[in-house]
Amino acid sequence: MSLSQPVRWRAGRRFFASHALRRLGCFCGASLLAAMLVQPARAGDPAAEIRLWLDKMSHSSQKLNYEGTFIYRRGEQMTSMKIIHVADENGERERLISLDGPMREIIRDSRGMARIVTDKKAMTVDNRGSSRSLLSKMSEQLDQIEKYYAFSLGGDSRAANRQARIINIVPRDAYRYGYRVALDQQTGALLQSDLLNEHGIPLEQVVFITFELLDKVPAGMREPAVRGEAPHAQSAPPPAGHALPGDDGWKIVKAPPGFLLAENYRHPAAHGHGFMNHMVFTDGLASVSVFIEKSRGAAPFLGVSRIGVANAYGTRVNDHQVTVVGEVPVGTVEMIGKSVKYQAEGGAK
Amino acid sequence: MTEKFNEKISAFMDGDLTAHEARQVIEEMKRSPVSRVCWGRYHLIGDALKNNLPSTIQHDLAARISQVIEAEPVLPITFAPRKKTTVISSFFKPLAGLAVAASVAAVAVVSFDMGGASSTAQVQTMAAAPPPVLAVNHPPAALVAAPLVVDEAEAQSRLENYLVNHSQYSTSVVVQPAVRMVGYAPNE
Repeated sequence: MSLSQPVRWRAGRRFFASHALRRLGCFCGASLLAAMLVQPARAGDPAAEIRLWLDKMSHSSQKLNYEGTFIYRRGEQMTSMKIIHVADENGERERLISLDGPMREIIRDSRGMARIVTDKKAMTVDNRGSSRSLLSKMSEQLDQIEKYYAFSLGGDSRAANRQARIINIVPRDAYRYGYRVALDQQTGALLQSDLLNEHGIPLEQVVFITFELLDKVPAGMREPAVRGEAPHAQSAPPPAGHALPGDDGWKIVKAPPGFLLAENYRHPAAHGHGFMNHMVFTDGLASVSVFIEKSRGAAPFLGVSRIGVANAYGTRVNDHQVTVVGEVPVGTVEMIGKSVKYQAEGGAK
Repeated sequence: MTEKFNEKISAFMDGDLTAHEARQVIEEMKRSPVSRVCWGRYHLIGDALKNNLPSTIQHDLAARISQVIEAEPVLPITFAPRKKTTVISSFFKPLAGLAVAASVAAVAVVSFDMGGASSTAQVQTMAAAPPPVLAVNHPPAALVAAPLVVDEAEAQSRLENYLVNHSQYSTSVVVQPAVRMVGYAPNE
């Protein structure tokens, strides 16, 4: 984290102050006043206060009814989206609608089933494995996460024209990146989150530009905004847990501290031949994927590569292409990639 | 330095700079691609705030056009006298740029249709669409003098597939997988 960060945010504030306030006028003024009136209780102990904020964030990510627009930036790529999140006696539901490019929309229901609708097609995806966002789990996993990241309270800020509180999450070693999140003072909702590389430069960001609490579930919430021509298309759910590590002889001998196997999938291989093993390792915040598929005579992907904001490491083990991908420093994908071993039954490597 | 400059860009957009400062900002933006991206981003945010977003935003269009122009072979006007060559070159350069821009647009339309046509109902298909940023790094093959190495292209496509799978199945503090799925949807 460098000194440049507060300055960067100041620049953002200056921008919003000059543009947003002037152009959104009295609407924003009213929201601002409301946000300022409802300040959270602040405990004296910073650790307790952080836990309070994370609890609040977790609660808001599951229980709030809100509507907002945000910009999602990943490297040089940027897109804007609208989100409507509702939670009532029928459970938690969410709609994400793209605001630029071709129409895309995802509707997630309370069971975690996601319906993806574009202007050309529609499909239903079993998204239960990843439906519960990390936000909702972060506070309960805090003890574990804190071994690898230091949490600290930043100053007050403003995002989506609301008063916000900054929480800095700084890695304790060089195997992971840091985060900076801005939480709504009133509700704890996440208004901005940045993934920061080792130099404190944001790699991936979600920045809310509007955020509005809803009194009731909007009537249109049950209807997708775009309709595909093939509404019954359905994908097979990823067979999670199909192959446990070791079952098929693949082992990760050495991973950076804290990275534990969280998921194990088996996907059809990209080019139609056989299957691809996909293991997801996480330290609670960062995720690294390990893909293993049979080499098909194509040029193997070897060594370190950068793909967007992610780093990748490729190697060949036992006639298989092994590729490690993650939004983590190079050293992490490299260490994991180099430690992939194939151990056939009987113990021979 | 950059942050301060970004503030200046913001002020420039507000019309808060003196003529001299404004000139400095323009000169700096000519030099620095980073500040041009910032300029574009601020405008996009401004448009989003005003609910004034068009249906399609090609925030990197200028960069893509520049990239393709860079890859263009030099116009073969070697027979002309030296001075005249310079004049013609500098005159034709923007036109060449326009033609290339049109080609880029055509390529964009073609890939859009291809993406739409391959609508097999499978998550993998959806996920396999390459993130646009990667497409940007590869000028359309037909417009580049050197042919793409097939193996590299295949390795790239495989990497992209891995990345999309990774994004879809891993959680993140910054975004939930669904956001990445919408962000990475096909046809980009």
